[in-house]
Amino acid sequence: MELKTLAILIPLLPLAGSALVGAIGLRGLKDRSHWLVLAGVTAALFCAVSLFYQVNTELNRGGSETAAAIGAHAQIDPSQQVGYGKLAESFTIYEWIPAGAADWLNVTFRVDPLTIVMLLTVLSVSTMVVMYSVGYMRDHHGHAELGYERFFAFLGLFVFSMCMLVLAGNFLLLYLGWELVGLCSYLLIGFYYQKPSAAAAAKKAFLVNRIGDFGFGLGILLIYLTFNTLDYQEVFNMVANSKMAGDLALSTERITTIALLLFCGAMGKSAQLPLHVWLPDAMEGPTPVSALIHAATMVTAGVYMVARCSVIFAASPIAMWIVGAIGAATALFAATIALTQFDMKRILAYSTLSQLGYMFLGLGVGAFDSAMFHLYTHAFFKACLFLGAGSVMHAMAGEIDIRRFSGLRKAMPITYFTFLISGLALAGVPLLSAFWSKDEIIHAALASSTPWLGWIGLVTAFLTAFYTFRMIFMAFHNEERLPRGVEHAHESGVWMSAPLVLLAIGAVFAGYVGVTTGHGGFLGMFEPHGAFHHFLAPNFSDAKGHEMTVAAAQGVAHGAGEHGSESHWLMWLSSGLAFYGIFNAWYFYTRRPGIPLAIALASGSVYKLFYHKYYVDELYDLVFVRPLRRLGDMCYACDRFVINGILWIIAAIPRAIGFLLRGWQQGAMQGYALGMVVGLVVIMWWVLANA
Amino acid sequence: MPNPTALMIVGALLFAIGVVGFLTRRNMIVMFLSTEVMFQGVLMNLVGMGLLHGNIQGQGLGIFVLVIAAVEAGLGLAIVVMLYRRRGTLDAENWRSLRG
Amino acid sequence: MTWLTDNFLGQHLLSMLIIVPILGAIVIYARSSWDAVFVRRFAMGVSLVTLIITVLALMAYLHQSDAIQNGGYTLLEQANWIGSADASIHIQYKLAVDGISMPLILLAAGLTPLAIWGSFTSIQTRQREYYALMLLLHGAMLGVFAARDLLLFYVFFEFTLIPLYFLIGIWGGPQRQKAANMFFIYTLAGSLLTFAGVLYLGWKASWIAPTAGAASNLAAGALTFDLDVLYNLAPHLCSGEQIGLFIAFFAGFAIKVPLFPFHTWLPLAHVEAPTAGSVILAAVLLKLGTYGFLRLSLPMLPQASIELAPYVATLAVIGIIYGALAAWIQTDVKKLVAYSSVSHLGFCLLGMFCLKAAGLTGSLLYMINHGLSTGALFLIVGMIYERYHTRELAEIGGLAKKMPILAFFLIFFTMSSIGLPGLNGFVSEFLVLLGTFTSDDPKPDGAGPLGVWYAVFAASGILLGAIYMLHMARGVLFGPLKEPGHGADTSAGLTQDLTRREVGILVPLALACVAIGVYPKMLTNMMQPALDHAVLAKVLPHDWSGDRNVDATTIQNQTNQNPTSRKRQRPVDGERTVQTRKQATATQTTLNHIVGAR
Repeated sequence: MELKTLAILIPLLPLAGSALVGAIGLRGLKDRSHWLVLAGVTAALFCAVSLFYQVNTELNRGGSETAAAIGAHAQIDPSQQVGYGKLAESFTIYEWIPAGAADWLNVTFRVDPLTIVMLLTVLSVSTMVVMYSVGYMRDHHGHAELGYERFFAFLGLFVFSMCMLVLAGNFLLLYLGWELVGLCSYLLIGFYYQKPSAAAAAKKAFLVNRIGDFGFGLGILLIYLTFNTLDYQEVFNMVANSKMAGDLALSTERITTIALLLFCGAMGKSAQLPLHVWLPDAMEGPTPVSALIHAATMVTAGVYMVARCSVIFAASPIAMWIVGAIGAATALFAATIALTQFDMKRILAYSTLSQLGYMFLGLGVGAFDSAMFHLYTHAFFKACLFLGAGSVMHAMAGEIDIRRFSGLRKAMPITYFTFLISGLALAGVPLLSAFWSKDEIIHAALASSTPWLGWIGLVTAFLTAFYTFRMIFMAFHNEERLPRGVEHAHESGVWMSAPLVLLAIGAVFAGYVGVTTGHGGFLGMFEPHGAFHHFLAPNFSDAKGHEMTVAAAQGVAHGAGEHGSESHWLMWLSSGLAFYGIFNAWYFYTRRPGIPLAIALASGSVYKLFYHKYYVDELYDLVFVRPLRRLGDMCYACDRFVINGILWIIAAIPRAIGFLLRGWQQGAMQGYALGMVVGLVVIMWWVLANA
Repeated sequence: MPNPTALMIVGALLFAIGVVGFLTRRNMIVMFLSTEVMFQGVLMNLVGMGLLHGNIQGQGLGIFVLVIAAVEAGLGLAIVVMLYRRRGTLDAENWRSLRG
Repeated sequence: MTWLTDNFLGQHLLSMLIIVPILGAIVIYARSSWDAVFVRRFAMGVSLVTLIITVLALMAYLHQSDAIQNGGYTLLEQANWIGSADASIHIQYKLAVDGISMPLILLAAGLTPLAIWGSFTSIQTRQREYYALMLLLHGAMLGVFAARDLLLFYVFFEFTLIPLYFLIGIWGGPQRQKAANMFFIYTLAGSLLTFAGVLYLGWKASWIAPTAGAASNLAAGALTFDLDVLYNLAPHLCSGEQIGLFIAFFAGFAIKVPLFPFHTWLPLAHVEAPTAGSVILAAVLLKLGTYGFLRLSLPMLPQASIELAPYVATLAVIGIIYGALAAWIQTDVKKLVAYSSVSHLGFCLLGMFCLKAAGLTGSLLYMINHGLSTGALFLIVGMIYERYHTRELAEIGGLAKKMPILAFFLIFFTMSSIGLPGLNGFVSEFLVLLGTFTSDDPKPDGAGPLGVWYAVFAASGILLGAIYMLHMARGVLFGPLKEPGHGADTSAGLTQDLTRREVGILVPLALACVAIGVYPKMLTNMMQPALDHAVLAKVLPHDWSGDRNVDATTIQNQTNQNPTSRKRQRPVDGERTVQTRKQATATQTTLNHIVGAR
């Protein structure tokens, strides 16, 4: 099929599935509702794979043509490739919103390597999660839960929205996808709407995202004001040439403002530091939702967006610095909180925050492709971890506190092994997927002008290994203990196990598309920067060419070749840290379980600070929610007393006049008549006197 | 051919009698009659003016007003009857509900 | 299309639009022997017939490609009402539609049948009078939007008060009389000032008409209220006169809109009004105010509009935030939705006074969208009220469990109301913000009077909007089930969840929301040329009037070309072109070509 048709089909297939389920699910399909959505998402995945081959062919063909034109061995700027140039042009589906005379904001799609990477990640994880949900959303007797069809309809809608987000060819359509995934997140977090905590979490997620979107929306408006267009390629071209609409020079302040406003949106959606509060609460949703939306796909939309706008961000050193700093801060901050939590899903949520922080750290130092690589590997192992947690939760009848159970590894072998493998990946153990991607980010950070970001990354890597294995040891090792009311733990059915296994395979091998072999690097075999980076290269070449990121870019792009063995000490160091973290966790939680308690007691207030998540929620409540609420009270009071009081005063004027005049009305008919006669006489006298 | 001045004098006199009657009597029927007298005074004036200006419209309007006055008299007397039924008296002093 | 317009009825589509509902009202009121069920069905039938006539009018309008592409009006009906062209007074019965009024007529004609349908179970007393008043209101609303004579406009504008006064005062809640009185007196007080302005304009026209009314066939010195004449008065009004007139119009329209701080009648009226009354009030009657600004204040008083725009916009922005905050703390769901209207209409005015094509289109679209989504929200609140006889957030909760269909619709319209992309609210909200944000930017259609900061503050209204709407959705739908002791009242033939009738009411609204959100082009294509022609060109007629300052034949030729090819090039100096307006307006008069059906 043609590229355009495929691109249109990809979002529409899940939407069709979702709409059908929504329409006839309650009456006709009931607990067979998953088939339509599963079919839609799987078909979309096949379309995406086919799209990948087409784009790849186009890139290679274009590349070779260009190379042939310039001369076989000439250095080619990847963005100048014929094939990429064609792909970077977005194609219009239809005219959407009129922005003034003859100027339309259109529904346009753009299919380039970045889109493909996102599509493949999103759709493959989605397929796994939809499969998993079939098993998860049932009780032990195989009966569907209440709201089964609603769940799948929302899931389909989410896949549609996410595909729209990544396929968008302009900022407005990006915003559409952006908000729609927010809606789906809202609906799915609030899936168990009768639980007050779930309803509150859903609302919180939507509102915190809206705070970010407030900035994001203003950023889009500012882009339109500056460039007079919202099309990606037109904007990027102008930024690359430091031009505004009408050939005016683009000031650094302007581009910094744009970048920071856009980043506000990313902070909301990807739960970065000041706006991270919604993500841990979002774990109130069903676990497959946490896996899909709040770990693998939606929360990475912010990373995708910054990567997509790499040209804009790269043009502003300040913005880059802020992105990197916030990413590093979030990574460290969330990891410290994860150390103290006991809710399995919350630990994973904080871990997601932390990993997203890594991605932003990578973006901030200009390693856009490494950030995308980490996004891609993270999707697999984190989804697998969440689904594993869901499997545990399913077996423990909804209990998820790791203090309440332990030693599950015998009863749930598949869950245990998949969880362990993904945990190892998360911890950054060598040869697993996240090792490659995380290491690349840290490497790029160390090589950049802000090496301290890299050191924060290394510290966080140690913490990551520790909290991951704290969780694994507490839940799966030691003697078997089950929460009250659960007679025996049991392994989940095949609908749930199969996706776990597939994702675990992904967690192991997904990293290998991003490395090259046979150059004698790490372990004598592996070098960073493989096919993945090559595929994405045209997307980021403009940004990399920019002088600000030149140092970082060189560090990354040529790391393998030029730095040689010098760069491998980092790989050894980080794998050492990972093992050291795992060892510590093992020692603390299986050998000497008294130590953590002792540390917690000894560190008192610090532990409390971590445990209460730095009191950010309370701070927000105090600083924003309550004052706004008071302001609302004041507005309403103003309505009732001030404005209505003034109205009463105005209305009182005629009333007062009437009060003064009513004395004249004695009510007797003849009195009035006398008045009239007197008046008549006066008028006649006046007329006659003047005649 | 009557003298327009005479007509107007009669009209003025009738009007004055009506006014005095209306102001001094308290019986509602008498007050109503006084208004009718005033009315006729105005009518005489109208006819007189018509004569003065030498056109027929004064008299035409006069007849028109007479018809209206007849209708209105019926209505007015009906109201008086209703009022009498309510209070059992025709003293205008009893109807002071417009007092402020 | 000749089958439609070549007969007597086809030439009087707009008159029929007004007469049919009013006749229906008279018939219903006169037939005291009809039983309630038949009265309802008859009223519904009349409103549907009106809708069909509206659709016919739309078809006839769309057939006038010239009107569509150049923004002129069509389906003209003209007759002398008071006086004649040779007398000293010339008030006409003049009806026509253009791209500004057509969408609003569609909105009014589309919503009234739904509002009537929605009253079937909720109104149980004095049904004959109720439906007669609804139809009377319907006719009056359509008349406002169709009128092309200022006095006729004013008559219809004021006439809408009377049926609604009774609707609130008779079928309303416990405080209905206070609410009805406040609504009536407040809006009347404002519009009396407007009437003074109307008279002044007519009087002014009577002695300027000979020079200004090039397009009209007026005798010298006739007192006239023909909008086509009044539009050309602007150059003859000094700035003091313009500001005075603007304030006079503002008094009536700002109270009607309602703009902060003139909004306090609205929550009271909404809370007390019966459901259908609230729907019509929010969806259509408030739009009379915004329509008045768009149709009268802006094009007739351009200089004052530009000068006072920052003040009006400031009030609008305050209203956006103030209304949202006040909505948030309400415990009565209906009051919450009422305050949200204050916030939303702030957007509407903001978009209007930014004087950019995008903002104006957004503003007009906002009127439609607010009508759809807020109308639907009021309907849903009414449906809850019919079942539980309460609207207090403290007394109901977790209804999603028992009423999943209602929950779906409530979430849907909540999302539409808070501007979720893909639904209607977003398109208009974005356009308003875009217009405001780029207002002082001379590209692409001239600098307007507002600036970036208005948009920044207004955008916070989107955030606050999400806060209060989700607060409501959560309170009503989510959490543990909570209902008043007596449970759902199903005595009037209702079921626990929505009945088919109620679903039938909400589905057309939902479809319209999706359609406008996904493909707004069908409406904006109608609106934009009309807004350009009837508003923008009259307020900021800068150099691009040169592009349009061509005789009719050239325009005819241009319309044959692709209209989008007329992309206007403007200098970037950004200089306010108010100074050049006088001469530009003079040239405008020559091309005030009237695209009539006849």
